[in-house]
Formats: sequence, C-alpha cells, structure tokens
Amino acid sequence: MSAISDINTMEGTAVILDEIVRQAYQCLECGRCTGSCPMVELFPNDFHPHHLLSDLTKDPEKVLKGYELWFCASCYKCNKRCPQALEYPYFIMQLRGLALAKNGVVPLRKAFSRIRTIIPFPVSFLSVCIHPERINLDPSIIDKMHRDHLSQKKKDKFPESGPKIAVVGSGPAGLMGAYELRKMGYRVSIFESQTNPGGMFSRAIPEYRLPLQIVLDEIENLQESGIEIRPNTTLGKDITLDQLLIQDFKAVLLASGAHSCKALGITGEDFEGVYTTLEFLEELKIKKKVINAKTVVVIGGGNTAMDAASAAMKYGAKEAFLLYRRTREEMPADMNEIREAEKNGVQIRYLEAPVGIHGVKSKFNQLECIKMELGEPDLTGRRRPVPVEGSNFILEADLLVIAIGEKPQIESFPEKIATGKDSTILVNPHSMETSIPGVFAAGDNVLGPATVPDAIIGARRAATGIDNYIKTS
Amino acid sequence: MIEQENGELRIGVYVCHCGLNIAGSVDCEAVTEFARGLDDVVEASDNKYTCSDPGQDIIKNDIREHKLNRVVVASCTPRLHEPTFRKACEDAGLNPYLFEMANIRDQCSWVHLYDREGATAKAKDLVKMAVARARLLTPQYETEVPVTRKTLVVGGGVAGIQAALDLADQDYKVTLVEKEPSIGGKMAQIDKTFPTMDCSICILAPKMSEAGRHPNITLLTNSEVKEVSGYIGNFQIKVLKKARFVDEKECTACGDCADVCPVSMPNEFDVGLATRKAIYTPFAQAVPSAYIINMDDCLGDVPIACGKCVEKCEKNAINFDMPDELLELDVGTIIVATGIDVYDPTEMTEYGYRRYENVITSLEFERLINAGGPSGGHLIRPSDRQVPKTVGFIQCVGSRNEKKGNPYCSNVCCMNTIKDSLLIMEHWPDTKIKIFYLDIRAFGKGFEDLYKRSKSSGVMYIRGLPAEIKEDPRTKNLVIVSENTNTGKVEEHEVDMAILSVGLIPTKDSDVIQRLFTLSKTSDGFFMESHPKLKPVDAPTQGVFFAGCAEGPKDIKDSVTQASAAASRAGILMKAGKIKVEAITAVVNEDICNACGLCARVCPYNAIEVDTKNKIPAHVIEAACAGCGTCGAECRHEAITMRHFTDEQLLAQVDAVTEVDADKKIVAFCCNWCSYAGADFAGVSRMQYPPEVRIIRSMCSGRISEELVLHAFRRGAAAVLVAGCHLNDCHYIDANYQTKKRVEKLWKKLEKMGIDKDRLQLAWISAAEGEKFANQIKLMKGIIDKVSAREIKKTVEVLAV
Ligand SMILES: Cc1cc2nc3c(=O)[nH]c(=O)nc-3n(C[C@H](O)[C@H](O)[C@H](O)COP(=O)(O)OP(=O)(O)OC[C@H]3O[C@@H](n4cnc5c(N)ncnc54)[C@H](O)[C@@H]3O)c2cc1C
Ligand SMILES: Cc1cc2nc3c(=O)[nH]c(=O)nc-3n(C[C@H](O)[C@H](O)[C@H](O)COP(=O)(O)OP(=O)(O)OC[C@H]3O[C@@H](n4cnc5c(N)ncnc54)[C@H](O)[C@@H]3O)c2cc1C
Ligand code: SF4
Ligand code: SF4
Ligand code: SF4
Ligand code: SF4
Repeated sequence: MSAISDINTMEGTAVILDEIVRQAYQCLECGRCTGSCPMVELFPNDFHPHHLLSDLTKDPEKVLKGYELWFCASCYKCNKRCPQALEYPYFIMQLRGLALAKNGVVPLRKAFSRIRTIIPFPVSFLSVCIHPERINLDPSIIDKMHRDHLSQKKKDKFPESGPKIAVVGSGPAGLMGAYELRKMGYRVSIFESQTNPGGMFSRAIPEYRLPLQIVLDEIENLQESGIEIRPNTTLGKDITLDQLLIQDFKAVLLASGAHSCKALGITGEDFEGVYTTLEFLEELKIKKKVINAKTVVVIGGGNTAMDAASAAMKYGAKEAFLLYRRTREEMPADMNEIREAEKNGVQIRYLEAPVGIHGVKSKFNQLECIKMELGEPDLTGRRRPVPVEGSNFILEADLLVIAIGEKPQIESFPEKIATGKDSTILVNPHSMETSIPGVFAAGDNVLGPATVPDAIIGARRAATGIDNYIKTS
Repeated sequence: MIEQENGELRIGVYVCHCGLNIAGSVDCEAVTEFARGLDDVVEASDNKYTCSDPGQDIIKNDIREHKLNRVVVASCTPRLHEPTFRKACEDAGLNPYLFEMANIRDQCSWVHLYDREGATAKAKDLVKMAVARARLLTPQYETEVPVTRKTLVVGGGVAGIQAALDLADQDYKVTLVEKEPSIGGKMAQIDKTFPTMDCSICILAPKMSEAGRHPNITLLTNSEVKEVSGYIGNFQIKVLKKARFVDEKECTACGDCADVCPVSMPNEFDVGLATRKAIYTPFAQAVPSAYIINMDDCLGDVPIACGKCVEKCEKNAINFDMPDELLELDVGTIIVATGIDVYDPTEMTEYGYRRYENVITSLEFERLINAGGPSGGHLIRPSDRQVPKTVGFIQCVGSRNEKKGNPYCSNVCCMNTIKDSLLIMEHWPDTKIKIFYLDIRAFGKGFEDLYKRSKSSGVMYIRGLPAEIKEDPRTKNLVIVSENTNTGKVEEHEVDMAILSVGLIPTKDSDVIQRLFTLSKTSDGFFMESHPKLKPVDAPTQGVFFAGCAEGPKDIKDSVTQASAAASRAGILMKAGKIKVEAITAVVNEDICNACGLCARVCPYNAIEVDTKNKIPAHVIEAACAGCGTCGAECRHEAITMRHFTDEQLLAQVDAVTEVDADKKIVAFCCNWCSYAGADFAGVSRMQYPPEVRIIRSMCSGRISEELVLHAFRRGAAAVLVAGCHLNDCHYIDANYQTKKRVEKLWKKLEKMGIDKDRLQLAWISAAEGEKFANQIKLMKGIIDKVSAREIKKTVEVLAV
C-alpha cells in the first residue's frame, strides 16, 4: 500500500482510495471481523465492518460521507483474524483522513452523538481510540465536543434505594460497569487505589493523546449520576473481598486492570534510570517529567512499548531506541502503532535483546545487548529467538524502559479465585462471573493487556450478569 | 534423404495463432511476413492451431516439398509441445534436433496482453532468435538406455498401496517404503469415508494385507529413503531400514509382550487420545502384523533394566541388538506417494485448541467415533466423558487463510464434516449439530446428495467463520462467537464440544523428499506436476511419478485414481524396457584440451575423467553426463562443446536479440527447469510485465559462461539476467553454485571496468514463482530505463575485442 501517497493532493487521495477499494474486493465475507469487533457489540445498528468494505466497492464516496466510518476503535482484532489478512483499521485510518479533508467533521459529530448514548466517557474514548493525532484532527474539535458533552448533562436521576454493589478499579471497565449498574438502579461504590480515578486513562496514556483534565471532567460528570468513588483504597490492603461481601455489598465487580509489569530477570533492574513502562508513563503524565536531550532505550515489541517510545520522543528525548528480540513479522504491536512510532522518530532495532544493565553507582548508563536469530517456530507459530553467541555489544543510554508486558496483579485477591494463563481471571463468558459466586470481573484483569472497547463490553456484560445474579439469588 | 548438415540452409517457419491466445495480442501475420524476410527462410506460414493434425501435416508436407532442413515453430512453450513437433519432423525424415521453437505465447502474448505493438515486436525478435539458432543446429542421435523393470514406491498410504498393487499385478517388482511401522496412511485412521459412508479400515485392510503378501512387493516399513542417484530407468536407491527389534517373520502379534511392558505412552495412531506400550502395534489391522519397540520409550535394552517382554515372548522374536540396515536398490521408476499431514491449529489461539479440553480436531474426532478407537466408538467429550448434546463444527481451520495455515482450500474437509454430521445423527439422533462454514464445497459425484441428506436430517448450517471460542470454566462448555453472514448479526452459540475441521498440509518431511528426487513444489508446498493438465502424475524429473495427496490435497477416490494412473505411466516405461535419452551431453575436443582439470572439478556428476599429472586430456563418460553444461561454461580453452546448446548457437541468439535497439533490451538466460518454467508460469497466470526482455533457454544456469554475458554487453544490451533454480533445488545437484560463483566474479569484473554491476542480475526463480519472475523484469525495467546511451557506448568500447 502506498503509504507515501500524499493525502494532500488530489492524485494522492485518489491513489489511496483506489488501493483501499482494490483490497476491499478481496473480502471473503467470512464475518470473522464482525464477530471479533467489540464496537459491533456496542453499536450493532451503526457499524458492520465487512459491510462497510462491500459498500466501498459499490460507492466509495458515499462511505466517505457516512458516519459509520467513525466507529472502529482500532483494536486490531479483526486484522489478526481476517483470513485475507486485510488491515481493516489501517484502511479506516486512511479513509478518515480522506473523509475529514473532503467532508469535514459532520459525520464524526453524528457518530459522536451515538457514541455518547452508550459510552459514559465518550471524549476520553474517542481520544484514545480514534487517534486524532494521526489523522490531523484539530484538537479544538475534540475540545468542542468535550464542552458540548459536559454542557448537555443528563438530568435523569436514578433511584437511591437499590442494593449496593462494589466496583474495584476506576478504569474504563470499572467506570462502564458502575454506570450500567447505576442505570439499573443499584447503588455503586468504586474502590480505587490511586488518587486519580480513570485507570490507564489518567495514569499511562500520554498527555498528548489524552489530556488528564478531560478524563477527570468526564468522571466528575459521571459521578453526578450518583456513583461514589473512594480513592486511595486498595483491595487487599485497605479492604478485603470478604469485608466487602460481609458489608452490605451484594456483589463485586473486579475491574482492576493489568498493572503488574513483567521483569527481565537480569541484574540492575533496580538501578536509577531504569523504569517499568507504567512507572515511566506515569512520570511523564502525572509528574510532567521532561526528558531533555537524553537517549532512551525501550525494550519490548507490544503496543505499550511503542507508546512509551513515541512518548519519549514527544517529550524531548534526543533519540529513542526500541529493542525487540524477533523481527517485525513476529512483533505483537499493531501495524498502526509501529508506523506511528517510526513516524515519531523511534529507531526500532530487531533481533536484539538485553543481557545486562550497567551503571555507575547504581545509576544506569549502559545496556549490554546480544544479537538474536530466529529458530524453530513454537506452538503458537511464532519463531523462537535464539542468542547469537559472542555477539554482545553495548548501547549507551540515559534511561531504560522495560516494556515486555503487563499482567493482572492478583496476589492480594483471595486464593480461591480461579485464574488462567498469565494470572488472568477466569470468568463465565456470558455473565463474567468468576469462580467465586457474586464476584464478577471485566477488563484487562480477564483479558490481559487488551483495549478500551474490550474493557467496556466486558463491563457491560458483567453488569447484566450482576443484575441477573441479584435477581435470582 | 534430406540434406541435413551441409549445403544450403532451407528453413521453414510456422507461426501459430493458438486460437486467440497468441493472435489476441500479437499480429501473427506480421510476424510471419517478418520471418519470410529472414535469411535462409524459404517458407513461412501462419496457422490457427499448429499443433493440430492438419497443422502438423503442413509442416510435414513442407519438409518434403520444400526440402526444408530446419524447422522453427513460433507458438507455446517448448516445455509443452517440443516433443510433438520433434516427432512431426522425424516423421517427415528430418532429424528432430533440427527443430527449434520460439515461445511467443507463454512468454509473450500472455504477458503483454495490452501491448500489441510491444508484443508483436518481441515475437518477431523471438522468431529471429530461433531462426538464428536453427541455422547452427546439427543432427543429434539419442542413445537408448535400458529401463530396470522395478519400481520404488515411497509412502504406504492408500495411494502408495494402490500403485504398488497395480504394478505388482503386472509383474513388475515393487519395493514399498513406509516410514511408519505399518502401511495404511491417513485412511487407516479415519472411521467412515464419504461419500459412500463405508467403513474405512474395512475397505483398506484387504488391500493392505494383499500388499503385505504379494510376491512381487517387498515391504519396507519403519524405513526411509536416504540417497538417490542415477536417472530415468536406472536409479540407485539407498534405504535405511530402521531396526524394529522384533523379528517381523517370527512375531505372531499375540501381544503377550505388550501385556507385560510397564511403559505407557500416547499412541500416535490415536493422535494421543489413547496410550500404547513401548512395545506395540499401532492398530489391530497393521501390516506387517508384527510388534515394534520404540527404543526412546523402552526402559532399557539391558535385561537388568527391564527386558520383561523378551522373557515373555515364546517365539523369541524380540532382539534388542537388531541393527539398522542400509539396503541398496536398483529401480527403473519411482512413485512418490508421501501423502499429507493435518494442520495443527494451536497457533489460532482464538479457537483455544489445547487450552480448552472440548475443542478437538477433525482427525481426533475420527479416532473418537471409531469403534477401534480410544472410546470404543462412543462419542464423548474429553472433559467429562459425557455424550455431547450440541456439537459445533468449524470449517476452513488453517485453510483458505493468508495468515495462519495455508491459502488453499484443503478439498476434503467440507465433505468430511458433512459425513461426520451424518455419523453423529445416525447414532445420536438427538444431537444438535451446528456447522459454521464459509462455502460448502461439494462438487464430486454423490457429494451434493450427501450434503442434502445432512441438511434434511436437521443439521444446522450457519454461514460465517467464527471469530472465537470461549470456555465456561465451570461447565467446560464452549461459546462459539460468529457472525451469521446471512443475517449480518453476531451470534453466540453454546456447544458441548467443538470440532475444528483442520486442513491438509504437505507432509512434514516433504522437503527431504523434494531434495532427494530433485522435485519442485508449487506455492502451496505440494509437489509440482510436469504439466497440470496433460502430465498430471509425472514429476518434472523423468521416471518419477506422483500418487495421492503428495501432489495436492484430495480425497481417497482421487488418490486411488491417481495411483493407478501413476502405476500405468511407470508401467509404460518399464514395458518398453528401454528409453531414449536426450542427446544433450558434453564432448571434449581433445586437441584443444590442455588437461587443466577444471571441468572435472565442477562437474556435479563426476562425469569427467582427466589426468592432470600426465596431461591426458579430459574425457566425458556419456552415460553419467546429465548435460548441465557447467563444464563447458568453465573451460577457458573452449575445448568443451555442449551438444544442442553450443556456444555458437547461444551466441547467435544473443546476436539476434542485439541486432536492433539492443540498448532497450534485457537479455535473460533462463534454465529449463525452474526459471524458464517460472516465466512460463507467469504467462499461464497472465501476470503482466514489460516486453523488453528476451529469454534464451539453457538446460541449467551453470551453462551460462562469462563470455555469454560479456558478449551480450559487448553487443550493447542494456541489462542481462541470469536466472536459475533456487540454491539446493538445482536439477543438476548443485551446478547453480557454480553459477553463483561465476556471477559474483563477473560483478567484480564489471565494477573494475567501470560498468554498473546492477545491469547484471542474478535471480533464483522456481517453476512456481511466476510472480517473482514478473517482478524481476519490472525491477530490471527500472534499471534499463536509467542506463544512459553513454554508459552503453562506454561498455561496448571497454569490452571491444
Ligand atoms: C500506554 C498505553 C496506551 C494504550 N493505548 C490504547 C489505545 O490506543 N486504544 C485502546 O483501546 N487501548 C489502549 N490501551 C489499553 C487500555 O488502556 C486498557 O485496555 C484499559 O484501560 C483497560 O481498562 P481496565 O478498566 O480493565 O483497567 P485499567 O484502565 O488499568 O484500570 C484499572 C484500575 O484499577 C485500579 N486497581 C488495580 N488494582 C486495584 C486494587 N487492588 N484496589 C483498587 N483499585 C485497583 C487501578 O489503579 C486502575 O485505576 C493502552 C494502554 C496503555 C498502557
Ligand atoms: C480427518 C480426515 C478425514 C478424511 N476423510 C475422508 C473421507 O471420508 N473420504 C475420503 O475420500 N477422503 C478422506 N480424507 C482424505 C484421505 O485421508 C486422503 O485422500 C488419503 O489418505 C490420501 O492418501 P495418500 O496415500 O495420498 O496419503 P496418506 O494417507 O497421507 O499416506 C501417506 C503415507 O506415506 C508415508 N510417508 C510420508 N512421508 C514419507 C517418507 N518420507 N518416507 C516414507 N513414507 C512416508 C506416511 O507415513 C503415510 O503412510 C480425510 C482426511 C482427513 C485428514
Ligand atoms: S475477516 Fe476479512 S475476509 Fe472476513 S469478512 Fe472481515 S474483512 Fe472480509
Ligand atoms: S479494529 Fe477493532 S474496532 Fe476496528 S473494526 Fe476491527 S475489530 Fe472493530
Ligand atoms: S474443503 Fe471446505 S472446509 Fe475445507 S478448506 Fe475447502 S472450503 Fe474450507
Ligand atoms: S558438468 Fe554437466 S555437462 Fe559437463 S560432464 Fe558434468 S554433467 Fe555433463
């Protein structure tokens, strides 16, 4: 695909559109995209991924005018499963660029007016999921939507008498679950270990993508429907699950995310200047750290690693290297994220892995690496990296970010809760109930690091599950 | 007798329209007119179908009437019709080697569909090149070699068994080599067979035992082919017969040994669903009907360690010291019937195979409902051994997928699922069955009937491929999430068990087989036929044939049909008892040869004898020479002549290409087996590429000497391509490594002379890589567009002799 085609020229536009239409013809209409898509579950009457492709083959201009284009949340699940390997979210991103240039923001506004009927933090959602920065969407337009949304506050008050439900965690899953339950008339308390509510929204997602103020405004707005948030309260430390159940909470929704960063297991990880992804992103977002003229090395190949490396560049790094131990083909990060990181000047180095963290007086200054080559594929089909003996080399840098994945932090939860691979909580796929009756879970703690729309649909299912549970018990 | 070698040249040129295949984009009349104007051409005509009988008759008549002593046909690829036209020439009394072809279809009209002018100009050039070569052709006389009346069949699935039986019944000796302890292949594992629903092992077992006791068949199980040498009619094979540790003849298969064996391992035959001992027979009907010890599992071949089985065996059939044997065979023909494996769906993590107990593959299902299988034929789900009430089938798992698995359709899984649904309905009629599919492919005889029977028995067919399977951790039930594409709605279906209809993939060691027998593979990984329509069971390597799934996924009926076809093709060769081999070998001119020994060093077949010490000139052992021409390309004294591909002939082709507008042309040297065939494949697939290229064929890229390349540049060609088979896929063992060395040397030389080395390209293009060929030409078009007239002029000057 001609990514180089210039979107600002007439010919460039036509080339991009032609290419997308050409690819749209290849759709087999197998439906795997639709079945995978969390946005279809949320907006079944507005959005249908492969029908949009079929529409493109019939009348591309009409698609550019339509509001359907604005629902994809770029979660990449469809791309991962499409038998034709069509990169749907990339098409969408390009089409949105074309649509904005041609038809302005009216279709987006129409989509937004639908989104805000379902998602109670619509601007945070849009900011994170449609990536306005990638399609030259003027921040003032997002701002305007934010102001409009706040000023059109819902007046409806929900009953104050329903049973009480505890929600643990105030990320997108917790907020969505709380809101849905509140709409059903339950009294909801959210327990949040941080000072700021919002989960990844307020902790990790870089400020240039999502301003903290927007998140806090939207949560405040949401609280007015009668949701209580108890900040600085950690389940397992300040309060236990049993205590919640003994108190008059009739059910619990665990929406605690995946915050435990995996470690490399080499010496020096505790040196000054060495961060986990979340620590690093939090420094940038909350402590407004600037990394003037420093060299940053990020280790990892996932979306979070890309975001951390991009953010480093955005906030003043001289250069940012991203080390990945396999090749681009095996890299788990979504293509859009990789393109974005490269656009931001991140230098991705493949087939390299860290073996030692060196420093002076426990202050990091050198990363010792080794070159890798690909061996036999493992059971999941990805080829295993094997170190090339004697290929060690040194990378001089000021900051090191270890971004090799996160998993749910469940150490403080009761042991009897059943978990699966990588500490994810096992749930009933319909009701989201865990192995403990009355305790439900949704979001990253069930899926492992996933996406905002997946957190939202999980939470919505859980709310229904809780409602059924309470009505039947 | 027609004057063939000496005297006046009288060339006839025949331009074929091939219906509209050529005439559609090439002006055939203009090409004929052009041919008529060439020196020595005394007759030229065009014809709608030159290969038809009337078309051939014209050639035959002309040979007689106009006393033609050279014939050129401009039509399709010589890989298709060269034998046809050679035969026609021979019938009319002309030595068949005085015939030449210009490939104006596969490599011209089909690849320049929208450029009539370019295509016509190119066709004229191709004819001119063919005529230039024809002038220098000399009669050749094919030698006859004997054909050993024995066959090697590799792979003892239903296809291999059928081929072996067909040949054995015609009184040929057959050695059937099977790597597993028993013959039978996949068919032995499946329960019933579509479309007739007969019991698979019931119809296969009699064939297996017949193969086991046929006096003309030697069965070598637990064996592998290790080495292959020789050529059509005269192959030498080495087979490693791995020790069984149980004497095949003595063992009565009583099973006493297994009763006492303390080891328990997953049984491969039951796809791990049941266990076997370290001493075992894979299944009841196994042939040979003898036990085998897997030494990796056995506790110890020293009696102190275990040895329980040895004590128990009354026939004393067990021998821990049994050695592996290396057997040598001489055979005339070979049938490759190595079959298929099934796709492992673990990488499609969204379906949870290996993570969720109740997700199984279709092959596991076959074992589950087989009366001889681990559950005695009872349909149970693995998690709680209960009979499932709802079952979901997911189609196209690992097939028709560009990312995971393979892009092709596996051909049997739709019908297999239909069959399975009926089997379930027959025994457990209350079961709710849901089949999630993309398309139902039921094209064979009796297939549609079966599909309709399944539908009318209440099986639900839901169009759409599921996005994922989720598990309820408590009940172990599964939720299949899928768009019903007929309604456009996403549905969730709770089932007790899900069966992944996995695709068929080439056998895991098909790479080894490919190398041993110098075969090619199509892009799907299956072995490539000599011609997809006209020689569907012949391998490109003469004397080798395919049977069954080795050539592509197919059902039992097609496998058996193909096996009989392969047997008959092999039989034809062996019945004749002798075969003519092409007269393309090397000859050394002993007067020029200074016995430096270079040729002998590069010959992949050790076919050259030379005594460098005593300066006795080189000598080619004709029977061993395969005709790659590497020696000829290396010899610095031009002492070696390659019959039918002489330096003069190839140089004349270069001269013809470069006579006009050389600076706009690419001279491409392509080897017969891979890159030339790849260019043909681009044509068959109608892949369009720029018309500036002119292909000169040689048997092997090893034939292309430094001088040929430099001559092209000297004549002002803009660029030169040398293309061959992929390294390690060479049809002359490893001759293309010499090509690589030579081109790398040439690059250095060109650089030294100040010539842009990009103008000489080296590419490895297999017969299946039409797209790669087209892309290579597109790339080179970019290169020649950039080469300036000055640069070319300079090159010509530097190289001037
Ligand atoms: C840098 C980055 C970029 C991302 N970009 C995107 C994107 O572009 N698009 C997208 O869709 N997704 C993106 N994601 C993923 C997305 O943010 C998460 O999938 C989503 O936030 C998950 O929501 P959640 O509610 O399950 O968990 P979280 O958002 O992690 O919220 C969990 C909350 O629970 C609290 N908590 C945890 N344990 C306890 C406890 N014991 N007691 C009390 N409170 C607790 C935490 O403090 C936190 O506030 C990104 C993630 C990161 C890190
Ligand atoms: C689940 C399933 C269900 C099916 N159901 C049906 C059905 O109902 N009806 C139907 O018509 N078809 C069915 N088929 C297709 C059928 O199995 C094949 O058509 C048939 O098995 C092909 O026979 P074959 O001899 O070509 O290959 P195979 O059966 O695969 O036999 C190949 C043999 O070669 C051996 N071999 C492989 N490599 C080597 C080597 N290097 N050296 C020595 N030996 C080697 C193997 O061990 C094996 O014994 C089904 C297939 C599957 C997977
Ligand atoms: S998954 Fe791909 S092929 Fe299937 S319907 Fe969606 S876009 Fe089309
Ligand atoms: S990227 Fe995600 S949100 Fe967008 S269409 Fe695909 S599955 Fe739906
Ligand atoms: S036979 Fe049917 S299930 Fe198998 S790959 Fe082809 S379409 Fe898919
Ligand atoms: S190098 Fe090739 S052509 Fe020469 S003798 Fe050996 S096999 Fe024959």
